[in-house]
Amino acid sequence: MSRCTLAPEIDAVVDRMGADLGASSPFLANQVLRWIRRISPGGRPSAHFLDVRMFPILRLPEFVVESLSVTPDTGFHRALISSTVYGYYYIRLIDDVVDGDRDLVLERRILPIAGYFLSEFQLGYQKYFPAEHEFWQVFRRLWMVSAASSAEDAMQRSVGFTEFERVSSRKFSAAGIPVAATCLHYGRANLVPAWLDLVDGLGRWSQMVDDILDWHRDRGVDAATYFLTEGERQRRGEESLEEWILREGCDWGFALLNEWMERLQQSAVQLGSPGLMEYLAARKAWAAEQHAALRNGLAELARLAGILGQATPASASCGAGTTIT
Amino acid sequence: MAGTPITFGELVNACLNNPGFFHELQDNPAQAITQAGYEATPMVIESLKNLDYNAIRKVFRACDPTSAPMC
Repeated sequence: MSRCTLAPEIDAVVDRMGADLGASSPFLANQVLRWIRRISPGGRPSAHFLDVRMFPILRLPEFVVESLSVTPDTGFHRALISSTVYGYYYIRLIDDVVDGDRDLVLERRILPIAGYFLSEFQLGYQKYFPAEHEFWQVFRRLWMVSAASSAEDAMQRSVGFTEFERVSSRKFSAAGIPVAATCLHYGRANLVPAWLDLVDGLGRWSQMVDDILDWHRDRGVDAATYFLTEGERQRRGEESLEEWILREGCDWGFALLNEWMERLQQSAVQLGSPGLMEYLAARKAWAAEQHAALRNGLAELARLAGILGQATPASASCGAGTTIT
Repeated sequence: MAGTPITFGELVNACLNNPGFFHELQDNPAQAITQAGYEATPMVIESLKNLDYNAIRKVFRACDPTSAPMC
């Protein structure tokens, strides 16, 4: 299912959700839909799921299918999309409350609806996999890893590479559930490990992107990340974190991303998915743009700091910079 | 920090928290710099005009958490 056909499918899932909830409580339905619109760029759920920075949870099954040379089972893929949308909102709602980095009155009020999201996520698979099916072992394992990693990550005080690999980058493990389901639905259990490795690698890459680009927000809420921890470790003496990022942190972070992306691209070739290869190439180009934006912009801000460093503060009572920050 | 020059770190924070300041700095450098507590000398104004504000704005866009659905 391409991006074009995914968008109406996603919006239809959210419409159905609104109708379901509205049948029980129109008030609650309005509140939940208000939250969903608030976290969606432009207020559109499909824009959220198809955003360039979004983990491709809805596209991964499509990448699997095109590598299998099978006729897609449309009903199965519709069920996967619906389940995955609910699963994402379940994780996102809990994450927002756990992160607690902004006004969360609405999130706390609608938190009980997380139970409904979870049941809809799981019910999507029950039609296709009986209780004894091996799928449920994979489901249980990935769901547990994802939940445990999210909880442990929120409690970390510093994140070295070991913790990043073992905890932070595993938060995306649940994205492997629809991927494993696709392999198993088409009778290709042998491909599950390779595709789950790909999901893990993509999770690692995506988490590092978030670590780098969200460093300012993370530091503001005192969240420990691999990027911030390395900044503390690598910065020199009196050097500030921002100075480290400009001097080498930015290049260091994006070099890691490049290295990991090359491995992902090799995996995509082995898995035989042209859509995945195209997706990864686009992500690589996007990351290069962010790298240039950050490096060039920070260099320009350093020039501005130099200009202001030579300027004369107007008076001690009107503190330089206080009206800027 | 009254009376002390703004640091690079503070400027980066300003870029990410108050990007509007950089619009002001580009559109009306004398007023923006005066309001920020500096003397708007011709040399400073000229230097400010030569900055690449588009590059600065791109930092804000790259690091804007509201544009990041996974955040």
